[in-house]
Amino acid sequence: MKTITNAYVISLRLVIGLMFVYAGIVKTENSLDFATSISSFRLVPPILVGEISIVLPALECILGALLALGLCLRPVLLLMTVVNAAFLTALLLAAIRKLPADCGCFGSATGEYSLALSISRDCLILAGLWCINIATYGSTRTAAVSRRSG
Amino acid sequence: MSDSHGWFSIVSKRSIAEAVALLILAVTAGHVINALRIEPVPPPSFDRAARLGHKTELARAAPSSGDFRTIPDLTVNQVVKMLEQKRCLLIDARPPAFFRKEHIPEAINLPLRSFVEPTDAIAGMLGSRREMVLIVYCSGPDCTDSDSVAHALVASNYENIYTMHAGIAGWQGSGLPTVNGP
Repeated sequence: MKTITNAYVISLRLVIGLMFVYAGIVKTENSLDFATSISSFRLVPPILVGEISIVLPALECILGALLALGLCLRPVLLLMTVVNAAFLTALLLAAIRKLPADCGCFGSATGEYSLALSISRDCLILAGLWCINIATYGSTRTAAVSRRSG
Repeated sequence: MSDSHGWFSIVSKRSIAEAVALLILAVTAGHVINALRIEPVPPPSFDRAARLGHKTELARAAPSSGDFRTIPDLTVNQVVKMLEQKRCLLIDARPPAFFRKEHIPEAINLPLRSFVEPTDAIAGMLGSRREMVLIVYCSGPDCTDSDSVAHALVASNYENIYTMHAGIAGWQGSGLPTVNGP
């Protein structure tokens, strides 16, 4: 049973990790378009748009690679959760304000513009991160408890 | 704290410190990659003209910084009147994905990136309409693409160039319709 769970967790880590790496690479290649995407949400002051468009893709690549490899999982899961929650908040606000915002998640060049699709995907990623977290660290706690009681 | 259940299991002093280290690594890596890029993202600046200048350089049509104030800006109402008189052509300076999603009716898409291509391609897009009044817009007042494209057009010897800084946000704010598609 544990082997099956491990296989699921590894698969989930690989899928989400590689998705982050891909998103990071696409944004790095189209950083000026990504800057326009960030502007379209009208949440970030213009002076910060460039900085975010430089740092975020690199962060996504690093986090994705570490998650896929299973390294530094605690900080990686923490940062990915924060980043994804921020994306989700921005998307929800854009949907509420009915802004012509482009997610830019996988680059504007993809022509992707469904906010509903982006919101659903972010929710799924958050759920996936939660599963990885529970499977990795929830089980550690259970094991520790069982060690103490046994 | 690190032994607790759920999301909190990943929050500890150590994981926060490691997360900060990863952030610093990302900032460094991002800036190194940006510095090596052919089209780097401009450095942060409070000066709108400086941001514009950097972006316009990418279009290989950089005007002197003083020129940024020479292109007249039109209000949404002025643009509506000119459109009614069929005197102008609207140019959407945003990237194609934004244009496909939503744009002002009858506008054409001419993103900043177009100016990296030979000017013949732009002439082909504008065709006989190059003699019309060209009004460039982008997302809204914070967006600089309209100015960059307007200056790139001036540098490519186009005349009668105006901007509409209110952008598509101002257009929609005035209750005017937009369309989607190519």
